[in-house]
Amino acid sequence: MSEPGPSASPRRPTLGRAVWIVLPVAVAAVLLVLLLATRDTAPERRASSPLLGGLAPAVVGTTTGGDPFDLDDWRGRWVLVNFFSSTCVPCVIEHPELVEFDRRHAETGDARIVSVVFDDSEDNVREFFTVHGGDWPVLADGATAAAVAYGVTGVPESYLVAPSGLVAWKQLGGVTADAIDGVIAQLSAPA
Amino acid sequence: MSRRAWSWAAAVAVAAAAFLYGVTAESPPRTNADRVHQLAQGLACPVCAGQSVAESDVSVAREIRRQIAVWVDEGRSDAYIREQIVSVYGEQTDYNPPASGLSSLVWILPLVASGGIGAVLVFTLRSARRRAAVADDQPPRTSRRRWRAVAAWTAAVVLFTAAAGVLVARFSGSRGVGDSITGEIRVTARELNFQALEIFNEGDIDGAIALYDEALQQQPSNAEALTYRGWLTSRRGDAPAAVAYLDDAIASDPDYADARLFRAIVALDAEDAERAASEMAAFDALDPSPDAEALVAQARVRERVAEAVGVAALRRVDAVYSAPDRGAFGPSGLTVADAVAAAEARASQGCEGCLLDALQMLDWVLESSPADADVLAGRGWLLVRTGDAELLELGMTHLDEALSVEPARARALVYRVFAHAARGDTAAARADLDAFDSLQARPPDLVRLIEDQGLRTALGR
Repeated sequence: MSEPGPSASPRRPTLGRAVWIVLPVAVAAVLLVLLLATRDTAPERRASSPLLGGLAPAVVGTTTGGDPFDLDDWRGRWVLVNFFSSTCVPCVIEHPELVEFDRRHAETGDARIVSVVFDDSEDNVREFFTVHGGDWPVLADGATAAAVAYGVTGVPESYLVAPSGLVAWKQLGGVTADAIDGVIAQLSAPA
Repeated sequence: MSRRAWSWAAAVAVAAAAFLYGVTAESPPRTNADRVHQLAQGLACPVCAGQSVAESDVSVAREIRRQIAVWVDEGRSDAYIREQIVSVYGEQTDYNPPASGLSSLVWILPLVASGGIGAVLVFTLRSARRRAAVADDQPPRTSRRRWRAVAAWTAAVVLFTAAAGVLVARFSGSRGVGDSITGEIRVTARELNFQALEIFNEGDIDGAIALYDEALQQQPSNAEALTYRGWLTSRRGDAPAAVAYLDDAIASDPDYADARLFRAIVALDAEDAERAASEMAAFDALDPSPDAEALVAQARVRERVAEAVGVAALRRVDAVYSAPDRGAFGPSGLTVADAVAAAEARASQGCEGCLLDALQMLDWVLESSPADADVLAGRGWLLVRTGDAELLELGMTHLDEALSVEPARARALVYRVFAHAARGDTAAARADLDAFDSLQARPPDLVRLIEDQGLRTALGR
């Protein structure tokens, strides 16, 4: 048997070509991880809002009672802008808390509620309030504009507007009277 | 023409035809509904995975579609509508993303990739030619020189395409919210009012006036801007101009409580008690904010109005009452309200004999109207509030008499609550207070009198 000649010897694999392929992929992966690590999670992004700290978008229209409503007429008070639907179960669960919050502030008038109908019919909403109580304004005509202006993605969703007219707080999901009062107390406290 | 040239010409022709087709095939929407659909297709549903607002049937998509339809019917531009949605729901909802931040990669990366592909093609062709040249015994380049050339070309291509991508992004990306096509920033009258109030609170009156003027240029009938422009004008000492602004504000929105309050204050400054009183009555009938109420208390507006009304009434009544040839009250043309206010003003002067003079003034009225409940109540109140036990009893008889004439007379009821409380008869005081509370019409000044004196707390009501 003859030995293989030099021309038949196997080529040593070189690292150079592999590095050129692997390096960009590795860099891209690291960048992706860094990007994901420094971004807010989806729930955090949903709970934050570009409106927070800014002038509250207008809430103007006609209530289910046929009265005109303008959020600006309540400047100087805390206002809870509550987006809801009569067909949403969390809204039904939340409602007694709104009734309680309204009761607590009825005498002083320092805080009020306006409910905004979200993708629901006026008849349903009237019946909802007849069954579950509450006699604060419920915006029907103009509700869509308000919902889009506040960037509402689902109900219940609430925004607390400070007496200055700025959006002070946002809540995804149901609120409680104690939680709202807590926020008001915290934000009203001298710095 | 060579075969290669024909190939290039054919490639250019195909590219041009594709471009022309792309441009002409995109016809504008024919109806508003088409436009709504087209806009909705360009927006991602905020809560759905991979569906546009047009495709999704979740509530939020339906609401956004409804609002887009409203804006389209109002004649808003596509850019405006997209901006409104994207500013609130986030850039991730925009299928035509802006050229800022990470989103700009959407514009840049395709060009970089195209450049990269082009570079690979060029180098592949060059390699093929080089191999052909080697075959023709032409001297090959050394390996190191070849790689240096490749690196230089790659860097140049990447730099060029990245720069092109940035430029494309800059010119094709969305404008910011509130920016007009010309770069001018749109701010609504409502936002201007807010900014004006903020800088006014910081003490910059001139800046606030400028912003209110800007708001009024946009919306001349804006009641808030008119009101505060008028108020700041009055603080600058230009009363006639202030009155004009405030009257315009009231004409524009008669239910705007702040306008009523500032108009009352301006009227007080001008010693127009009647106007001040009527504006405060309108203010009380509305739903003033706690801030407005705080201003009323801080500036003692109600007290000043009551004093001004009393002084004006006293001036009118005294002109008749003190005349040497004074006749009866009845034909004098004066009103009972004038007489009662004048008597209170006289008694409030606190001089020696003022109370007696006030009582005699009311006696003069009673000569003409002996059973007038308001006069009897007024006389009783003057006596009760002296705090003197004997006068208190005398005052009580007048109040009893007034209520025997009109059992539901609010003023007499409230004055008698105070009289009972002063006598220590809590049960009787509570009964009168309950009777007052059951009235349908309760004068706001009496409600405030009860609150200010802490009568409810004292009586456990």
